[in-house]
Amino acid sequence: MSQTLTVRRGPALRLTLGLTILAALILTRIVSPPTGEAGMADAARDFVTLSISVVIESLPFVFLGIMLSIVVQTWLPEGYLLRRLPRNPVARRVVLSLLGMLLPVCECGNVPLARGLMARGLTVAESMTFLFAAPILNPVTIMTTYQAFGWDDGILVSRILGGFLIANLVGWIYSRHPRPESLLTPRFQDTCALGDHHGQPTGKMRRSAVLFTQETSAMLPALFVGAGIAGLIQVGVSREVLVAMGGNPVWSVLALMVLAFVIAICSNVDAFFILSFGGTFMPGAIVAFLVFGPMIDVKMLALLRTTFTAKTLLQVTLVIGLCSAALGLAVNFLV
Amino acid sequence: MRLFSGTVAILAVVVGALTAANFTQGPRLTSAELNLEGAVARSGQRLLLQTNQPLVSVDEKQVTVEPKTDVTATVADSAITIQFTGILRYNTTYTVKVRGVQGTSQDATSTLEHSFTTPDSDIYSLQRDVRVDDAGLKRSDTIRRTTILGRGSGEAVFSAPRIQEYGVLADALAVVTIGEDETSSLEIVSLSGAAQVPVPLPTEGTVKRLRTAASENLIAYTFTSSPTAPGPKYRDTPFVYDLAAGSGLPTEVAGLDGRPMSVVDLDFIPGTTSLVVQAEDENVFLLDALKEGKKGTLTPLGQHSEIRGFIPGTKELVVADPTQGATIDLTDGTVTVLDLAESVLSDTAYPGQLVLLDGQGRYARQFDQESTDTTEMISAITVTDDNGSKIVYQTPSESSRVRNFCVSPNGQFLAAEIFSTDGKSDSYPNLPATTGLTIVLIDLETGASNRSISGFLPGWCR
Repeated sequence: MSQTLTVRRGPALRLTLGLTILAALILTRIVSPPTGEAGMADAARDFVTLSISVVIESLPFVFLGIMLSIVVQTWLPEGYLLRRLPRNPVARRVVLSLLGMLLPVCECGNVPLARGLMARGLTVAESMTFLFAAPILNPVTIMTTYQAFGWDDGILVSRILGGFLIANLVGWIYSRHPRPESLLTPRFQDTCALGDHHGQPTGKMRRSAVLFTQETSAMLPALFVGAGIAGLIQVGVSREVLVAMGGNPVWSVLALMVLAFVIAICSNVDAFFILSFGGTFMPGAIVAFLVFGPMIDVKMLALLRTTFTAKTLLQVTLVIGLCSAALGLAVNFLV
Repeated sequence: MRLFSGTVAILAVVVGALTAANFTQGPRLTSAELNLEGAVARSGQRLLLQTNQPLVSVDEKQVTVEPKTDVTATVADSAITIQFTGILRYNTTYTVKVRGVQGTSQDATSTLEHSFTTPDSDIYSLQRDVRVDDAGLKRSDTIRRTTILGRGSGEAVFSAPRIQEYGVLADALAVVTIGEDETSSLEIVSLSGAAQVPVPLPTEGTVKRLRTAASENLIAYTFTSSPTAPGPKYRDTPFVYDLAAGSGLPTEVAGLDGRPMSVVDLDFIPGTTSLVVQAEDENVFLLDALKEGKKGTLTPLGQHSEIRGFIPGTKELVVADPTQGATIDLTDGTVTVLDLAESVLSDTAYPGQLVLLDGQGRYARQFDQESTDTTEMISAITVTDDNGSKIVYQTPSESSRVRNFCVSPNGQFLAAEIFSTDGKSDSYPNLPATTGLTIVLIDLETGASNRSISGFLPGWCR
């Protein structure tokens, strides 16, 4: 009963809080001078600009992901997705890694969607496979990568194959975990435990509203924190230092992986961003950037932290980082 | 946990091995770019060797080209630019090697190697036919197209009852034909099957000295109106026709006084829209064909008795005067007086046409001399430079002589028109020829002259 009360009071309170913040932002904008950044130090202005750009870029995809998550959890018939997946675990993960083709959401939008899929019965390993493959193996990302690089230096092929293999490797590793639920945060474990709608309001519309509130209150703070950290690191880390490493086949890979981690750019547009570095950095470094970035970056880690334990994220980051580095180094060596 | 640790260990080993492999590998060639058509048409073309990492500078000593060719080399970021000083040969496989190439961020070096084959060249020729068919009509003249490696005289690309001359454009020919009343028509004949386009002439008259700027789709010619033609009178007035212009009308070139000029010769500067004209009073002018007809657009280049075309691959105009020749570099106006070495046949034969082959005074010259066996005349072409003089071609019999010759755009071949002394004249009012004309290609390096094509007016000379 107390659970029900909490859920019912939460939305009203948060809605009021959200509207108040929005009104405060609008008021600030109205009373600000025409150049709103006047008076700020360069570093502070860069921090604000970079952080806001990450939020603005990610926000539509986060909401799209939340919507899809709600559709999966509330509007799709029970077991609709699970029944259509192959029974063989490997084949099941392969199919899930290609699910992004149907749900072209940026990596930040995949987090709420993956949460929804887990709440609907997907295993942790399967949701991880989807989570890390979908930002790369989706039509928008493939198209923009093709537009940016064509077939040059095998960048597109390396990105697609690399994304697919790494996501399935991570899925395979965690499919062997004896207690997969221990990979999740206790809070998200509770959410999954309530996946049978126990204690939740009846009616699909009301349930959708509650889920929307839950997901936004979990995702948005994480997004803001992640964007803030991304902005902070970008201000702090000299881009010149990264560019200076671009000509070395080894350091260039490392430099662009660090850059991908820091700038936290959306996978749908990252190819155009890194295209401007194409003349400076080696092809393998670009591949590493395009594979590592969509899977792991500061913003993504903040979002993933809503679902997975810190230890799990550390392990996943290590595996994906090593795989991306190996892929980038291999491309630099061979192409 | 064991699986995770094992996976991480394997991945770490792979990353370590790839790191070591990358550190020991020098820069690698990722792509190479060269305009092959341009490389056999113009000097100074650039081969861009793109590598996978930024490079330290490279000098010419590290670069070798087979067959031997002079080059310069520069590095910009991760690309090496090899610039060919001269023009490359047709149908030749070149191998460029750059040794000791080093990246800016590591010590490992490598050798970059790239091979490419230059294209063949189209050769056009005009075959006149003075014979009549069964109906008593004159057989058509034909413009044919072949290549250096091709066989025979090639395919017919245009036929008409009487063709005076033609010029080659990027995807078309400009053709001057002669009507029954001896007046000229000028047409643009597409080489891709599009409709034939007549170039409007100001009135009835004669077109001569057709010149083309193939890359710019421009033609120039002189026009003389017939005495009985209505309208304004023209006498060897230069006209320019821009195929790309919307008006579809040729424009006349005005002299310094703003009135139509009368010229004795004209020529396009290769690869440009600029035209050199020689007026009747021997004054030579430079003008931009796209700004023709406007006062003040003529640049005087001095008075010279003859203009002899351009040194292959350059914008250096060769002019001749009664005492000495000179070259005028039209990029900066520098005049260089020619001090040419004596040819091997200078004392024994009658000198004819002279064609300068490069900027170092190497030239080809035609001589006619008496045969050693008979009293008949034979022709020879010599090539002379500071190192000496040699005969590169001699007509095989007393019954044939060199009528005219020119050098291919890349300076590799001479195209010599050989006529038979017993050939019959076609009695055309302009550019008359005789039957039995052939074009012989002479390789200036080897002296080989194995390729002959029926006809005359080789496209290279147009």
